Amino acid sequence: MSKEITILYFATARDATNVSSEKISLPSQSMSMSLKDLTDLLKKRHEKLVPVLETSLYAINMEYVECDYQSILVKEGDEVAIIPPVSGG
Amino acid sequence: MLYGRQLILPDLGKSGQLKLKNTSILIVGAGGLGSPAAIYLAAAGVGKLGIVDYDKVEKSNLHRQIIHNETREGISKAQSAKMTIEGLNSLCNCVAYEILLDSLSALEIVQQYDIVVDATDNVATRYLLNDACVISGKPLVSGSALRMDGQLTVYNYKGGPCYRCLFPKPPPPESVLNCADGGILGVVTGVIGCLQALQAIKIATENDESPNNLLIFSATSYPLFRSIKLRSKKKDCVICGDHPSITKLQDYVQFCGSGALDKSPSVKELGREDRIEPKVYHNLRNETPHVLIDVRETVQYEICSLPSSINIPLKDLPKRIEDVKKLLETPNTSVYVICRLGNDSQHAVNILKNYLKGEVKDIIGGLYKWSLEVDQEFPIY
Repeated sequence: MSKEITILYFATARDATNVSSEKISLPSQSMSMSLKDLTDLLKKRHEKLVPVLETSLYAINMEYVECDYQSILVKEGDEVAIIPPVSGG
Repeated sequence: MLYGRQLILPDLGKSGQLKLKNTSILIVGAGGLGSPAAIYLAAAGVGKLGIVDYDKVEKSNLHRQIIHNETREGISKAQSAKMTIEGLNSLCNCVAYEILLDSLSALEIVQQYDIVVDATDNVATRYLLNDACVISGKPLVSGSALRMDGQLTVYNYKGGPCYRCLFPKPPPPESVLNCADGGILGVVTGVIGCLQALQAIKIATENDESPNNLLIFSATSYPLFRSIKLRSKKKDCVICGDHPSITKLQDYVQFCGSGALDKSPSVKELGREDRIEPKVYHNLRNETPHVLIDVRETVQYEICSLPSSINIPLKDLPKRIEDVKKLLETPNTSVYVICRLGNDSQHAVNILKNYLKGEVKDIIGGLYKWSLEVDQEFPIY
């Protein structure tokens, strides 16, 4: 069985993908992937997510991560949340 | 005794109640978030509340802006909020600011308060308040809500991040929905507004042990709440970092590319020759064979629509061109397009023009203008 990570989409990210969460398989044989590679993969899967990702923040396992996406690794079983700003009131 | 039931709480007590009395809180926005926040803070015994809002009470506000009521329609929201607060707790000193907060006025007002509650409805004012709070060293209790979602964070507090640390770049204006376009469930703003009041009380009574976090509320998800642990402020943040490049307030409308008003901008995509006034359309409606396409979302079409109009939501239009062609009596039959405000209808005409031979025009100002100029009975929502 392939190794999976879970992506959670909030607010406009959920509107852009039409799902609130989805499972993504890690590339075969690998134990992890960089957040940068994951971002590129998500952009390919969901065209409408591209502008949303520009201004969203990421959390891995409910902990905010800073945007040095190349060095941050996502591992099997991790939960990655994509959180765009909400500005209404 | 007014505060008896909360005075006996070990977490508050007499000392906590006195701290509330000696605290001043500025609430920016007397809307869906500011209404419950102001009501609970006044009721709890906060000594001074400032309420900023430039807007007037409208009927479409009342499902969520519960500090106002039907008799206040047309009066200033700041004044209406003050009236409710004074009726609720005469010990609260409430100051109403009927102004649009901007870079000239913000600092002077913010500096007079201990805590700021961001209950605004637009991106530009969020950055303005963030910067004003960083510059004057005030905690910012920030809430936001749209549709079925909300967020709550305290910025610039206990070494935690500011709004710019988390969101350095404003979202592109065209991607930002407001409550008028996106919709909002009243109780969603209520949940977030109440949490803002709670957070402000915890700060005022020095009762806040929780680490810096971003709370996400999603009414349609399970669990309803998720808490994201935040880090400390960013060393390279342009305003709260070690070497800030921003030391005074900026032009936030320019920075965000959108104004400080929660109103939909008017689009001008078509020339006069591709557009028709509602009155002119009304006159030809029964005389000239044509097809009227309503490009609003179906959920809106179901609220109200013009007789004999056909609903094809804008997002579906490109793949339903053949359906449109089938509606035409002859290839030259005229097509008119209508929407809520006359923006989406212009996009739709630009799409349809590529495929249709006959006249394609949009109805200027949409159903809103139709209601004002042709049929006053037609509902505005």
